Amino acid sequence: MTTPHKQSVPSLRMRMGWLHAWIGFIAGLLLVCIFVTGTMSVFDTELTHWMQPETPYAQPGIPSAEALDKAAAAVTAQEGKKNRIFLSLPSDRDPLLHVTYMDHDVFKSETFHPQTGQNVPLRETVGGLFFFSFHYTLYMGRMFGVIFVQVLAVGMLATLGSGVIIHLKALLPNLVAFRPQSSSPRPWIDAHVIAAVLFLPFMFMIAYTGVLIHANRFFPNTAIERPNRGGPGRNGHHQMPSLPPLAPLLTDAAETFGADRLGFIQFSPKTVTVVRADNTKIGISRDHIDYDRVTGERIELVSKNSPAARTSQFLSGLHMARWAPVPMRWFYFISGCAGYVMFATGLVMFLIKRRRTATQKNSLPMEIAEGLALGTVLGMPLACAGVLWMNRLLPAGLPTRVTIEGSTLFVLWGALTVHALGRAFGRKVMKGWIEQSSLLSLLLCLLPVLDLATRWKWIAGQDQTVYAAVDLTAVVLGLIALRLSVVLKRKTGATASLSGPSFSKEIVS
Amino acid sequence: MTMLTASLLLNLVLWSLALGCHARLQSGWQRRRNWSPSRLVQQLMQAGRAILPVLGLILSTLLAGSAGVIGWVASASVGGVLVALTDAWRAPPKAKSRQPSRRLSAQEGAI
Amino acid sequence: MAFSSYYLPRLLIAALLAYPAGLVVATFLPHLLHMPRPDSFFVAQVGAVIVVPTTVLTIFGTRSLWGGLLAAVAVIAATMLIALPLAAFGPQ
Repeated sequence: MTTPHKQSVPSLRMRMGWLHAWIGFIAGLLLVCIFVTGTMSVFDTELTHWMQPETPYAQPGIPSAEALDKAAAAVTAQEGKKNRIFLSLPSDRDPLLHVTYMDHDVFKSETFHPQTGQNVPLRETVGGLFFFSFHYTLYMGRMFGVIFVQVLAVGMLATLGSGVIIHLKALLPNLVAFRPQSSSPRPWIDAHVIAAVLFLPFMFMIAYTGVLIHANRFFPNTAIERPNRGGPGRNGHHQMPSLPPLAPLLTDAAETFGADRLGFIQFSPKTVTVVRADNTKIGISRDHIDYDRVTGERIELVSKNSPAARTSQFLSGLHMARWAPVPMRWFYFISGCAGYVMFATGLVMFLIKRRRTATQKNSLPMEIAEGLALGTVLGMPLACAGVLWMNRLLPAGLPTRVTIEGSTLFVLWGALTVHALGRAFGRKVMKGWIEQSSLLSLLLCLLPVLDLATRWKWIAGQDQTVYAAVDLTAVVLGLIALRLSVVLKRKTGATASLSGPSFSKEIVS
Repeated sequence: MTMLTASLLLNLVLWSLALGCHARLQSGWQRRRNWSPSRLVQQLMQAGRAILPVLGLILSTLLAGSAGVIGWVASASVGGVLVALTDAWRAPPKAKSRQPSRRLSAQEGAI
Repeated sequence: MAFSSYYLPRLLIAALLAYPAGLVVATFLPHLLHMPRPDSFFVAQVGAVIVVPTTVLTIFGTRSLWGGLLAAVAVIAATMLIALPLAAFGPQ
């Protein structure tokens, strides 16, 4: 016989359920956005390519001496006034030569054709790196932003752990059971469990390695000596020696790393460093060869090979997927989409449950929660699609286009959240879901039309693979959004007679 | 086609078959489709569910090393989604609406 | 939407304890490992990152709060013990 005290203690499943629901909801509101931008970052180079439709066709390979000389001249011109400059070497994903530098916290680059050495005039754009930066900093600074994202990732680990305990009994039997025809909330639970359980190894890996990549910020180590970064020349107060010819350096480095395994070149007052490409093995080793900046002689090959260093490189590489060839990248992309589905369905189920049990149906916190969920689940993908549209609609030569493109994400996201909150306060949040999903499907399905209309001038002679892949993916995602809006419309129609058409109530019915 | 791509495709097929067997072995699936497999078919599906992924792991390790193992894990997830979507697509129309099951209520209640 | 009074103290204690638990592992484990400092610190971080969510789950997993606190301390000790064999794989 159980005592009254014992009866009042919630079961393990209930305790974990509470933790899963609340941490999952609060962290999930932002983790949805992190997953959306992270999924896009899997193809960041390709997105940059799409956002610069003038990009000409070029063969990857070691650039010609002429091209390297022109790039070296651009490096010299930028040195002395910029903090960080590096020369990206051609690769399969990006066959052009880029001199990239930091200008007021924004990466800018001059591009050269790797064979002819001609300057390639590409429009300035935030590119795929914008989504990548948002993914791990939320644009809240490289210190606070990164730590904040790490806290969210730890929250995700706790949510995953508690989720496994909750769904333990149904874990194996329901592994591939998806019943969209069943009455709600069964389809939501099925989608949530499928996305979470089938992709559980990916979810744990991505959250864990995500924290570990910048673990020095989460658990700072003051005992490690930091390299002296304030040396002469870095801040532009000292004269930098002229660069040696880069072609012989690359030929020498290619003998060590391989001709197609050269990543980028860094410059310091004393050395020129050729770094191995990240796509050569799973671990991001950043093996490099230092050359004397004046004579061009090889100084040393630097490679961290201790088991702990290799483990660290492996875990970083696993998260960043820079090693992954195109098919594997698609698997990362699909897994990222599954993460989005997991959080989106989790947020919806949280609202369904709370709306059902809410004693005061018009409570303000419930409406705020419904508005915020809509503003992130559909608002963030819409804002990202808006950036792609803005990229093509703005004049190519507009000086402030980088600022406008970047601002589009935040302005649109804010506006859509305000719209969602407005619909939630007006007790028409379902209408908000239909409106935003319809708009999302419209923006994504029409993206190929926009692409063709604004790329027509340069289309001849271009490799169409990247453009076709981006456009087709947009159409597929747009059709999914369209299907969602149709289903929601049907549900709304079926429950039109019910009073107080809140999203949760309508979905439940 | 690289070895990694080949092993990815191979694993996708093997995992889809294995998870398809897993779905068909569930009593809920059999009840919904009104299907009762013979003992031999059940044993074959049980064997397939266990052997096919192991075969995939061995082949992907041989073909693509550690990258193959990562691909093997990733294929399981994508293969599972393929099986789930195919089964949902081919599901028979719902006969009648029922009250949510006790398991469903418990699962939902925990969330 | 009200927070349950049963769960709130647990959440607060978990939030207060989880990060320091990880910090303890990240601070003390490198001293126990005979490896170069960056390597030993990385091994410690690997354990510390696991400790943070595990502490939260442990505090919520036990029936009584005191039991949860004791179990959380056990988790930290176990992580340090499990991480010690990792010292074997590093060169001096």
